Amino acid sequence: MKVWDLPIRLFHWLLAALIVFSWWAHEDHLDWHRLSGFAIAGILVFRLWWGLAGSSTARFSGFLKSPAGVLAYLRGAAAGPGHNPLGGWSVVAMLATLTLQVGLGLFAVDQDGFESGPLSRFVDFETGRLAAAGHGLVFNLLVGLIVLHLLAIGWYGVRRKNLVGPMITGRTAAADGGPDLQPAAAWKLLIGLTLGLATSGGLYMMERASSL
Amino acid sequence: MKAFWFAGIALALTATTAFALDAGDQIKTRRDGMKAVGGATKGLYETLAGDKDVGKIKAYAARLKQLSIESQGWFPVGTGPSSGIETKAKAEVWTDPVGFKAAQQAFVTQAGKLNAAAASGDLDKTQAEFGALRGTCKSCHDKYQTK
Repeated sequence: MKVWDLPIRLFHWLLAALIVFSWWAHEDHLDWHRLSGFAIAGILVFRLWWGLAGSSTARFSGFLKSPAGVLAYLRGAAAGPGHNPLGGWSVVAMLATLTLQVGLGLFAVDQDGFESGPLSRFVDFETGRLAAAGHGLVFNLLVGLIVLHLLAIGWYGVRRKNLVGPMITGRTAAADGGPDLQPAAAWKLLIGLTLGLATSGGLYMMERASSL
Repeated sequence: MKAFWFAGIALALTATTAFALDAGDQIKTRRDGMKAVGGATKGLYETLAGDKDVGKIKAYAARLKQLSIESQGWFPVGTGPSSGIETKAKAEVWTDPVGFKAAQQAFVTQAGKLNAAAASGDLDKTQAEFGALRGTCKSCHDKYQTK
């Protein structure tokens, strides 16, 4: 049965690749680092929209459960297709951390005052340095969440539940049960793509307008 | 005799504390100075990329030149990592004094060229010298500053 739609899968793998790329570029390739950050900002905006208006397994209202629901899952209650009650909160934690990370990067200034995010001209040097310090700290938080994410995948893997395959093919074993994936209307996809592109494009134009 | 020892220890402690405070102050002066350099650089960058206000460009360039000269006094002996106070200055600043002096001089020279270009009102030249200054900052920081 289908569990992840194409937008979610593309988002996931693009995000993973862009995070690795951003990390690689953060020291000596800040031009690329900025572009990568703008791309992440765009797909994040798309994902947040998709969490409100996307397919059934993408929606926050579908996968966010109360603490009691999380506890019940931990005690062995069955979970339907998509994020389980615990994984749902880990997704929210990663999305929130990424949003904060991108936000800090937009205002960050390097110590020499030559390299900066496209919104740094609206803050003074010291504030920009604080944003840069925060950008470094929040990265560690992000790495921690990614490590947890990978450990969880490994944990389910040794219990014969493959999480990686479905994120590639979009399909999971029918035996898992639960309701089928409810795709979202095409116009909602179009709105999401427009919002994402506008975010990335807007940041890119601000960058162009404020660099030498 | 006991009193003598107490007095000696007290004196030694006071001297050590005074020295540590002094190194702390000197490191703070360096840090504040470097922040001022960064602030002026940010301001000049934004002005050159933005409204190109000649008055502001001249002021930032003059400030950078002034700070480059002051920066020669920001690295007194005893303000490195061995001071026990947190600093990003590497021990190489003091173990490679010839190399470090040359790097400091490069800053003074390049900030001077930048200021001369800005004072002449030639924006293209100012931008070129500013670009060169970026390399001057980086090469010294790569060598003499911890990440």
